[in-house]
Amino acid sequence: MDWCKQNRVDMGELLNIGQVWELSKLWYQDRMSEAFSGRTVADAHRIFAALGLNSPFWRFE
Amino acid sequence: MNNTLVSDLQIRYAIYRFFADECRAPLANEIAERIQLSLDDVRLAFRRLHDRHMIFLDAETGHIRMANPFSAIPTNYRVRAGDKLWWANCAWDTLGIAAALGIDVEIEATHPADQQRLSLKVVQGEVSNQDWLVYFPLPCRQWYDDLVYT
Repeated sequence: MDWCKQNRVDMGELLNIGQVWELSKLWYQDRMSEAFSGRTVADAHRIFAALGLNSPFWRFE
Repeated sequence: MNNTLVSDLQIRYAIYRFFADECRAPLANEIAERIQLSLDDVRLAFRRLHDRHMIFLDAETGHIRMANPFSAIPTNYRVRAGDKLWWANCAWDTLGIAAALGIDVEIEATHPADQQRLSLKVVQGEVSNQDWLVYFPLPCRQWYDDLVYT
């Protein structure tokens, strides 16, 4: 991607808006809940996996 | 849960409620007044929440910089609903605000590469322009190295 070359950054990942909307719902739907107490790495990985995001890019470790 | 954790979660919720209602970040004293805790206790809780990545404090001022998806400062990403306007931290977070609040929104973004103005909507749970692309520059393991850049 030209932008990556121009800014000398490694290539990241592209998701379409539909995918980002699905990710947003899983990631943020409980954020306004009084009971929300954070998310574990395993929780985060489960959310990514539910959307087919299984590559090392989507791993916290 | 111990009492510290309970109060930290109460403070986290108060921060998010404030962001949603007031469209800006609360100051520590505003949270202290709302939930009747001392300013020192709230400041310590802010720091613990920052350490747990539940909010993000400005390194210089100690004020809230982000409570994702909300941004405390103006950005290229604006989310409107009626007479309310929030700033998001990134493209993902524009949709994050719609998802967190469960409301219809109009999103206006300025493309970081060419300053092009982009608009999309969330209406009744459906997002427009689904084929547009969002770039994630960093892998998850680097997200918290520099959250502003991320």
